[in-house]
Amino acid sequence: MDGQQTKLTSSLQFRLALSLVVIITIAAMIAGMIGFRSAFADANELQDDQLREVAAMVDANLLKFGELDVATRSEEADPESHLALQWLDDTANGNGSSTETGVSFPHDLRNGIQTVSVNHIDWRVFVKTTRSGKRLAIGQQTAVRDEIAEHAGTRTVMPMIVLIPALILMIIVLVRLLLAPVTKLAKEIDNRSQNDIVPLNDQGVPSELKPFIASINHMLKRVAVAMEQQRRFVADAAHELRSPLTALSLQAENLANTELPKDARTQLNAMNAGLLRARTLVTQLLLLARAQLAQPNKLGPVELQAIAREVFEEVIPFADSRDIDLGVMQTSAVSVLANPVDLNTVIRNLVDNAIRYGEQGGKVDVSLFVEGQWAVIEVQDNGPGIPDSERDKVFDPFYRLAANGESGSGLGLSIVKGIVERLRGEVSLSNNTALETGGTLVSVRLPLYQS
Amino acid sequence: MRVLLVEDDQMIASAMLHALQSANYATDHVMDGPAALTAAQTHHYDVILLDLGLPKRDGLEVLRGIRGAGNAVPILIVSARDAVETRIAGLDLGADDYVLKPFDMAELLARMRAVIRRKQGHASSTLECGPLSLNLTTREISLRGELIRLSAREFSVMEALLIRPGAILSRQELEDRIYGWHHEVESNAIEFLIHGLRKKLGSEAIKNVRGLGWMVSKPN
Repeated sequence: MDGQQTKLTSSLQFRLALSLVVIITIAAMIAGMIGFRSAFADANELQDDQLREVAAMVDANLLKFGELDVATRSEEADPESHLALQWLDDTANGNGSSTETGVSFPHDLRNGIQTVSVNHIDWRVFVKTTRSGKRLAIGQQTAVRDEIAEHAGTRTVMPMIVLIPALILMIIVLVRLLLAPVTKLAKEIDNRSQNDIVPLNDQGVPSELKPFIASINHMLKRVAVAMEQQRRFVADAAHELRSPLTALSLQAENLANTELPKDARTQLNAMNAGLLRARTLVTQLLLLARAQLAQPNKLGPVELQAIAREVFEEVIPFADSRDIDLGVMQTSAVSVLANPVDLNTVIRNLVDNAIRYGEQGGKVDVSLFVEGQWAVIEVQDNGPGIPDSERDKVFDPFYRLAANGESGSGLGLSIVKGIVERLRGEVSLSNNTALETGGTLVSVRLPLYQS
Repeated sequence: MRVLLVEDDQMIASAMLHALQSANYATDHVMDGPAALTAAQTHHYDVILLDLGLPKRDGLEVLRGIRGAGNAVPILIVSARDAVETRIAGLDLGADDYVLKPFDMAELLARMRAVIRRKQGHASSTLECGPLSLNLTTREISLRGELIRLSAREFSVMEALLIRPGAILSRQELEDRIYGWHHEVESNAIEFLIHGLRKKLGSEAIKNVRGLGWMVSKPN
């Protein structure tokens, strides 16, 4: 929940939408207020003018008191909106006051527009001295006037109030739409595999993001260079180790050719075994470094059966030494686009592992077949198998299963994976279901070559 | 027999010198490219062991120089460079063999012998593998020195398998070598022949590789 909170507040999209919404709401409120006020004032002014005009008409004898009453009454249903007419400084007959409304304005009102309170009701009153010398007062209740003015104001503000939610909705949609390339970019980076250091594509990305992408690409380039350097270093180091190893094994061989006491010879044999192991390790290290180097080797169509046979010829002595029945289960003509040396390395390592970690006196089967667009190489043994929890780790360099007496380099599967990934294929491990005893089934899929 | 050893690594060179002398080769040792070229021009050698990563002039250049001068001396490249391209380049430039470091001295000596033999034109007329010896001229086979009688087809099977011990031959390949193009071959003819051979030479003589074919194991 907390994480969701920080994620939301740190989202550019959210912040942009929120600030736009706040600004627009405030602006709309201010605009609404100003609009309301000016509409209100305008309405009041208009009504004041109305009072003046009515007064002028009465003065010019165009309107009589009674007519006005009739006219206003028929037009306005609301009795409170009626105008009140009254002669001020009226000493004679009482026909001056507006009979209908029944108000009596004070007589000491000055000429012009003013607001007066009569019996706790506010009136807007216009007082004028007519040509006959009498002073005429025309009044209207303030509440009525205000009601009309308010109506006018509200009508001005109404469209804005209705439009604001629509506007907010549009902003949110728009922000989301405009920031979609950013989300897309983030997803693209997120979905990358750890070894994928191809530069990001800046096509169709907003120009503000381009410098950002450029720096990421720049960094990716440096990472690629660093990775390449590191792999080259491993390759060079392995290569350099060969010379002293060569000298060592030659010296050991020379020593073996001399007269030696029996226990010295036993020691020498042990040393030779160690030397052999070091040689294997160095060779495997070099293979691994090469498998991971970015440069693609010259590729050509390679027939898997031929490679498998090559490998068998190499490993049969090893299989015999462990009394393992090595054979081909299923084989069909399958070609892939690759380098024959790489494919030999892949199959060699898989078969070598199967013999090394399979049961002594057991069975190792190799199958080559086509499945859809894939050329499949399967190697299965009937050894103890690999526990589920270790499946991913066995592809890591130098990772060996615990409590395994065999002295492999721990690099075989890393090499296989390196080569297979470079050839745009896949490696997977599973339990061997063909046998009751379990065992390991390694499956390599490579893009099929069709001539 | 006189050998020129071109090797810039002192440690490797001294170990090799020791082994070569033990094998009764008279050995000269040089450590860089120009010295190697001079030595090859001024002396006669039966074989040259050439490292590739040399100071001053690279081993491939030395090779080009020697062959360019029309010198046909047997040359074995002994190098840590294992790229296929380098190996091909070396052999194309006229090297007779390519031995990868680290190597076993016994293997190097065997390859030296083979190269010298080839140059001298003594192609062997016998195929040997462990206790088996196959004489191609007399078309006879012997097991631990004892002559074994084989039919012509059985002999052909053994000949095919012994040309390169350790190589796996499929049924199709064996049929192609034994029967003519228009010959009708029974489906189990090869199995029948192999069965007969095992009876005569012992069941260990020919190994069946499940799903691929048959082979004669390389002796260790």
